[in-house]
Amino acid sequence: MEEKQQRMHEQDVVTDKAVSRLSDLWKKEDYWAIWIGFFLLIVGMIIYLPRPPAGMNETIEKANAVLAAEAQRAPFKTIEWYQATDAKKKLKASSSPIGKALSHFMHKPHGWSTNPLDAFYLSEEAAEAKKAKAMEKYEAAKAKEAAALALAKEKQAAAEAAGFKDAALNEEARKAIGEWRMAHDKASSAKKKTSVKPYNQIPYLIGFGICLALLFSVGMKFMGHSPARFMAGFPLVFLLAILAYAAEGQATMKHWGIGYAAWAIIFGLIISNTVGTPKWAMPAVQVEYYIKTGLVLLGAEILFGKILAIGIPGIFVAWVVTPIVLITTFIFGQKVLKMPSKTLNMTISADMSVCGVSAAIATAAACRAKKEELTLAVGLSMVFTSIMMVAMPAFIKAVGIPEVLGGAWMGGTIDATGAVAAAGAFLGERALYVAATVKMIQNVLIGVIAFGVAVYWCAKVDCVPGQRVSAMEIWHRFPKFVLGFIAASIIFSMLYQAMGPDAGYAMVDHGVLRGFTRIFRGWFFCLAFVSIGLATNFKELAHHFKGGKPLILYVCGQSFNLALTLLMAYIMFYKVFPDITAKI
Amino acid sequence: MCSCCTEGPWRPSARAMGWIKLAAGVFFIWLFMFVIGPWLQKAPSVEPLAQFIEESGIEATAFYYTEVEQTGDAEVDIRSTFRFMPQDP
Repeated sequence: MEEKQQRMHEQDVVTDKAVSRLSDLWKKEDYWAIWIGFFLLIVGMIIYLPRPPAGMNETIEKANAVLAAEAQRAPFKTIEWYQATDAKKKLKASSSPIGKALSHFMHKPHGWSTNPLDAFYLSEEAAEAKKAKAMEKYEAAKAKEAAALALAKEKQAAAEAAGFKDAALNEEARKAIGEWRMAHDKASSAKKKTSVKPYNQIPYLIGFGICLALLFSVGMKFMGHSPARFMAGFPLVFLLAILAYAAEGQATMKHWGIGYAAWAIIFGLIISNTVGTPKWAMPAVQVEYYIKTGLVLLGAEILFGKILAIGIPGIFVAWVVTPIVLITTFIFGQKVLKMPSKTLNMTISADMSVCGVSAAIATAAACRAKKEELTLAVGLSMVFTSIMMVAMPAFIKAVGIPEVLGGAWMGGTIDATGAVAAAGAFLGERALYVAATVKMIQNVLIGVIAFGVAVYWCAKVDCVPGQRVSAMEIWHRFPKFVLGFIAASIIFSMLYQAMGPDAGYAMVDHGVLRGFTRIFRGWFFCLAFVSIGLATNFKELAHHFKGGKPLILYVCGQSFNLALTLLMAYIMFYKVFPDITAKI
Repeated sequence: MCSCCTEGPWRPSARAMGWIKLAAGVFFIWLFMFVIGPWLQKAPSVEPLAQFIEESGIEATAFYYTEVEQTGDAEVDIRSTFRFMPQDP
């Protein structure tokens, strides 16, 4: 009986049991997550690293020379300064022919509005019609950009004629350049929409699904499961993952920021709680296998070189406030709310304070949270992300909070990066850049948090009170996939540093990661969330929500986060480093 | 024995109930996606943001920085600002 209960618990938690043997290397999913993850990372490196964008080094050198000269010439960012940064932004290894081919093959369902078939198929006529409509908008946006640029040039020339010593002329030029940048962003967005091409995604999705099934079935065989049974069940899980991505692409849902994670759980839950998950599909319902493999790939996206991107103010907002909020919320949950589950408390605290879904996944796996607990944390994050994405820019505008402060505030508090970018861009380009950069360096914190939580759980939480845990015992209990996650982060951070931020941006960030492994990681998480839905009972879920404590924890923690982040951002950007803020 | 063969008021079998619940679930998703969501979006505080997201093409549903194109642009811009900060004359 006890053994049965133990086995049931192991199926629920996002980890495996704590015994180490040499055969674990090929019999445990933690290690298979590492092998598959690193296999994909190596393939990504083989594809992209030998193929830098044409003239990459020359372009970087030339752009940096222009930037250095312009920084000395004027007390504000000139038109030439922005054009040089734009030249660097265009350097992307993923824009190479092979990058485009891979993106085409692994593409998720396309965006759509009223007809779900548009997610998978677009005829030539429909593509032409869309293109013609987009061209009209682009022509208008291009004309506005040209006019804004002409005005900016005029104002900059006037400021230059005064030797850049007239503060009023400088301010006029700065304002005109800012307006040109807004018009430039709008024209760039409009231009992207003109590149509509007909597509039929169905054969590619089938081919990609077969690749994924084969990839995971190798590990299944070594772990003692039947690959044939896994392959038989996989189509249902993959089909629901496709539908989750398709739902995410629906125009209204995109506006609300409701991503594939929520849809994958919802679709899985609906099936498992109505007609029931078919028995033949259960061998492919592998929550931990998919999550851990996705997390190893996520590790590569944690590039420590990025934490200095916005200097000391960014570190204080993202790397000082966040751990304070995380620990305070966790202690509040334990001592004041008396949360019945420590793992639920930690998953919600991390999800709310760090960066939503990705932090919830990493922390849940590191502390052995139950799948229902991860579901609750993701659900709370999704709901509050939507609310905050709408409410925060409206509040910031209404109160008149400056763009940089508003951007830093949203970057440090809204959970999901996409919602941060949307809310930031809605305020303006400066807000977008600060918000997105603060969020990005907060994203990097996941690595440290996941490792810290895994060690803390092994050494403190999972032991009898008063028991002293040896280093070997900690090793036995430690979720091994975290080693792959950390190793991937260290290797890719070193690679990124060795290349320097400009080449690293083109080759690592916009090559191996965004052009290859990120796509697999997204699918793996989607498969994991579908599996969570397919294996979860509504009653179990309701049990974890009993008393509304998770909601109270999230609201209290987020309120503290909002107050502390605003205070820290104000102190850092407006009291300690006002000169930096003025130049952003 | 099948529930439809017993006496008393007709009740669908558990299997049929499952399919009815599934249909209800799909209906609620449709309702949220095409009726409630768009209706809520018409609120004055929401509509401008929704329109902005549509026009800018920002992936508002993304949850990690590598999924959002604008984070890359932001990083290049901010890094360049710190490295090549315009100097006062």
